[in-house]
Amino acid sequence: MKNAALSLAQSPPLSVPLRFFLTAPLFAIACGIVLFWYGPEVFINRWHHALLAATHFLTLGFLAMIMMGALQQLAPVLMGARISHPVLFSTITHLLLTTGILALTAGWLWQQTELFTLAALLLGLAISIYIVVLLVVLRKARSGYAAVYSTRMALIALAITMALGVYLVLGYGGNGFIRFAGMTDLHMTWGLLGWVSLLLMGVAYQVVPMFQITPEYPKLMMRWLIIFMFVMLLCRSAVQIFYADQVWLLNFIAALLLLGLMSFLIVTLSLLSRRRRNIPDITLNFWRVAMSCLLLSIIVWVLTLFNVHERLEFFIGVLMIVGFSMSAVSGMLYKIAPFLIWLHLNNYAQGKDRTIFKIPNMKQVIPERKARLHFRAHSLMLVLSFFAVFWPDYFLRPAALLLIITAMILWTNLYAALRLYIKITRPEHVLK
Amino acid sequence: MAMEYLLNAVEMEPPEPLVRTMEMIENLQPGDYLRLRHRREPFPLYDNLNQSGFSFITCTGSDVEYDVFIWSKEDAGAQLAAQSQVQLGKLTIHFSNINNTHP
Repeated sequence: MKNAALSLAQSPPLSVPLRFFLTAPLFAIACGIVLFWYGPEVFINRWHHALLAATHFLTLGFLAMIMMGALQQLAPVLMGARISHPVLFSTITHLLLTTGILALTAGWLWQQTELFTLAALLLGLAISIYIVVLLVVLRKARSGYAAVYSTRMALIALAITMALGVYLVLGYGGNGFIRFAGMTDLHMTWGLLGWVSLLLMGVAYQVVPMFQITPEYPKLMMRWLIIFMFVMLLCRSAVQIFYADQVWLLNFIAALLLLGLMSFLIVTLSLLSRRRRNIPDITLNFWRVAMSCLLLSIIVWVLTLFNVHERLEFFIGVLMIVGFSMSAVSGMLYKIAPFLIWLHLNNYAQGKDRTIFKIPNMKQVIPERKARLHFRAHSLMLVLSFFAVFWPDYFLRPAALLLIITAMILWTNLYAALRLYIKITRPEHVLK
Repeated sequence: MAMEYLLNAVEMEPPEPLVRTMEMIENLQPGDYLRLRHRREPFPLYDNLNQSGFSFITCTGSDVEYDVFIWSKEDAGAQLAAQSQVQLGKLTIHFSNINNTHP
């Protein structure tokens, strides 16, 4: 008999991704508080300063926070791209990102223009350092090449989003930066259709077949779709800058982009319906909701072309940020977080007496019923926030309240998983 | 008497195939080998097998995507049994951590 050791040698310390995961729900709670505090007035005007703060609590504070944390875990484990000082790197980027988000949102909420310059500096630094380091280590990546280049493109899209954002925010700081028309739209497009969508697509190519036990994505799609989307985003930017009056051309490119997303979501939904093992799975639920919201936002975009309702553009924003991105990222967390805790517990137990160190299995790290509670709260929050787009007077505050509750459940679930780890590895340090 | 242990991981979710494989090979007796059947190439398993002193041959060409034969490194009998099984099944060797000479 042999002692068969189990390890994923490439995995960074647990604190590297977990600090990002545990910070993210706090920003979602902040978003809920801002929306609740200001009430229906924020949903009337797209440029309301509290709405801008709330949006960035979600996009930077929740989405980017989790995605940047997860990528530090996925790059070494899925792609073999190891970051040499993982703890130092995650400490620096996490601190800069967190303080940057606080400066940016405080700038809007308290109308302090000097905070915008500080925010531009902190966020610019955080994201630039992050992108440069990741792009460098990805050059050493070995396996899963579709995942590698989609991550690369998502990072470049993040760089463009960030550059546009920094430029825009410096304008708030009264530094004489003049905006051209549609710059905010470009910032949003690169953020949501570039950074978020491209990264989710690249990760989905890997994790959907792996964890949901489905057939693989079509090779042709994995090879070309992300490149196609990226080129279309570039075209859209060029048209926006040089031929902004050609509305039909802008719409045509947007239609091609949405067609790309549509093919991704149809293939994903069809793969998910062909799972080899049909057991309930919370990630699957989140992903189905995410894909449905993506589909809905495409339909709504088509409706905007016919000016059906003045609130539809706003609706697309809610669908894309809360419906699609938040759902997909939350679902992903319920695979990544338990796996990480389980893996690190296993590594810890190596060579120790297994009768003393009882390692829970992955399903015990975050119990199904707690994850399901989060999913239910999340779904209800989504429905309320959709209603809030059209009837903010009645639904905005309930939606905000539910966002706070949803984020609290998520935070509690993640923290309970961490506590389990601490309890087993450092029984004398159990946090009361 | 040498035995083939079979682990069908085709419908298992990660990390179950890895965990179950490591559990099963701990209990292999001299001459025994494990045949792991999987739908994906188990890259993380390779590192673990190398570290723990196990040999393996990963094959393609059966009715599942990958067949991985695993045995304890010093166990010549198990290696012979596994290799003859590979030949018998007319499988194609895809990857292995042994050189093809018999110890």
